[in-house]
Amino acid sequence: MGKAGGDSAALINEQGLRLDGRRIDELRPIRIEVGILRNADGSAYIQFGKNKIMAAVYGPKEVHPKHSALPDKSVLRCRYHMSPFSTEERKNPAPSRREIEISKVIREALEPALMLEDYPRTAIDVFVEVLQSDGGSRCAGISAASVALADAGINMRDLVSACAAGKVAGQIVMDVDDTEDKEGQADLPIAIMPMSSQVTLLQLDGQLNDEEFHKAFNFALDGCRRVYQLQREALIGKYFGNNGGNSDGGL
Amino acid sequence: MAKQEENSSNDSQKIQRRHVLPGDCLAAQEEFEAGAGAVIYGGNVVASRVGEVSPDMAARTMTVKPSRQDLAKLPETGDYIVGTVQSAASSIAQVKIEAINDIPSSKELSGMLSMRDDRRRRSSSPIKPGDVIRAKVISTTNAIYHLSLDDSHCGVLYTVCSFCGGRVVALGHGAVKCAECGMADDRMLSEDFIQYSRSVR
Amino acid sequence: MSAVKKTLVVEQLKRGQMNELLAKGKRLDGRGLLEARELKVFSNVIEKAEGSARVMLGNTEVIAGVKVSLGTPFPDTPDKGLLVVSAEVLPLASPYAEPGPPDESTIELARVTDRGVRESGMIDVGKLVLREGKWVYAVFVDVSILNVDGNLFDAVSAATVAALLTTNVPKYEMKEGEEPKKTEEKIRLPIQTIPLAVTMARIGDYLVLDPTAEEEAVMDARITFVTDDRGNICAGQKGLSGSLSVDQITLAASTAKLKGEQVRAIVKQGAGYVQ
Repeated sequence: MGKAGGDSAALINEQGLRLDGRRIDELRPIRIEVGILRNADGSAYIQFGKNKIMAAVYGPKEVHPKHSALPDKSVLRCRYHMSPFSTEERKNPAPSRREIEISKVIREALEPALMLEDYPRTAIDVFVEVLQSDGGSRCAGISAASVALADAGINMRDLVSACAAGKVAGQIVMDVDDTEDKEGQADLPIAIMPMSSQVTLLQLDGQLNDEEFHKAFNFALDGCRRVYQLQREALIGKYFGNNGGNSDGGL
Repeated sequence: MAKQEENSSNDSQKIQRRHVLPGDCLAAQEEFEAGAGAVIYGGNVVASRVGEVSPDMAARTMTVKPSRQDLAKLPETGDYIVGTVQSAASSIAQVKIEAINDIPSSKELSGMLSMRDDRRRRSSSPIKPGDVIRAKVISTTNAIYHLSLDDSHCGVLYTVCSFCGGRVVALGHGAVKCAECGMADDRMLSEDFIQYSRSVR
Repeated sequence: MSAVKKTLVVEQLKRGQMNELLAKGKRLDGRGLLEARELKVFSNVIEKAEGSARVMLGNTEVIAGVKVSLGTPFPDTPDKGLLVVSAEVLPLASPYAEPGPPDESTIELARVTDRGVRESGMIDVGKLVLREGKWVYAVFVDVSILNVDGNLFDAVSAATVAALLTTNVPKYEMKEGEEPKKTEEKIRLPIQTIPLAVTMARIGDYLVLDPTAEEEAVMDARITFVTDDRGNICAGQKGLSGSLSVDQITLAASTAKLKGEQVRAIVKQGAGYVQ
């Protein structure tokens, strides 16, 4: 709060650079690793700016309680959770209303890509744990979860890639970080299935006029496509590369 | 890249790409069918998992072989499972599946084991709760895994005396005898059990 | 632990194999009875936390983060700061872990770790007071378990201690009649000693150090001792429905002291701690 002295003009300087030195159409640095957790059927780690997020997939597996099973497809369950030490102030570990809503929209962002009909009467669990948050954690979480699902071998029509755009100091920018989110005027996170250009998540928080909306939407789409390339590289590196995806202590 | 590929159309270059990720286009829907690991989506045959494309030109089918042990695999007809008997009646039992084709499975799926009463009439079940058995998947209709023991590899792999809990040895194919209390009991044994049982003696 | 597969026939079958090996002084993974798995400690992995550490003990993996805020002391200890250790087995850590509030095993895990830190006097809580009875530092250590493969007690203890060793807290400016004012200056926590847990499992007649999940699935009893760097034992906990002989307790205590020294060296190095 009030880090930039509440002066939103300082969020973008005269050279058109943002607080962290990015241009308006630039993503934060991103790193994705595949298969970082031993017990999970599939897992991924994403570092997205200062976001540090792990995603794990368990399943398809037996559903408990049994009556919640569906006869024709798998039940997808998602849990987005923030570690108590992930935020500036310690976060109570019990799920908040915000985390419950984000869990729902993440589930609905992933579901269109998943061939749940291949796994009737089972459940697929997706756990997204935010170890450190930095704005845009839902998008980073979706991107990591999609890679973890591919790592688990769940049949998918496409990957899912996510990125936000927003309005900061009167300008449309790609990939809003924590400070920009708190002090900016709008945040538009989206997720897409990149090969088919289907939108699977869209939220808008703030005011945009028609023109601004279209610009922001295109920025977010562009961001998603860049994230997609990194998701591809991570999966290819793990499965077809020489490095076998080692992740020793690299948080 | 080989020379003949350079001249080929854009589409067949896609076919030649060996390593694919979910969503990658493999062929147009009009040209190929989607086999295992592929799906028809948006007018194309696309990969549905990470793996290696294996086009069957004769059958016009695109298949993607998974790049690692297929963790998401559910039991299919013809698979062998190893499981623990949860409950058992004379001709039917519920089995918790612990392995599929000898690959451990943590999915905790259950199967329905039907035993035809063809060996002889019996009053008690030839398997007991707690037994570890191998069974064959004979049907997966409605995602219910129907299991059968009608195969020499199938049957009880591990059991204890249902009377005293002691170690047992095989008495032929259909019964065991407790090494401690001497009680004999019905058990539909697998060949593996019998072999092991003899080597112990 | 809740996150470990309970009685499973396949596991019970392994028990036979395990007992045969133990009689020869060996274990399923090739270790000797008093041999621990490799311990790796990485610190400052979460920049937003005042202190943090990620610990890998074999395939068991945990991450600890320290958050420090202003708090009000308990009425009965107006001259002491607050220190709370909590743990959560994240559902991503094991197919048997369930989302939801910590169960009794996880609360036991956190409390034993908390007692080790508290009773050893690792942190001089008397120095965490800004104004007696009114303002103190509140130090929260939260440990998230990322992957379960046995011996969470020792992994959580190492992560907690390493995270505390790396913790920098904001200095507050105190003026009479005013609320404490946060300054940019950081100070280290007042560390007095380094307590670490060493856990053994009894399987049949044998005690084994640093059990895996496979071993925990068949263990009869568990014993944890926390030792500090002055040769004291400062916390202990026997767990599970089995019992331990007097000799086994004695062996566990002496092993904890001996192995605790080795663990301490690794934790200090991982935390970059110099006295």
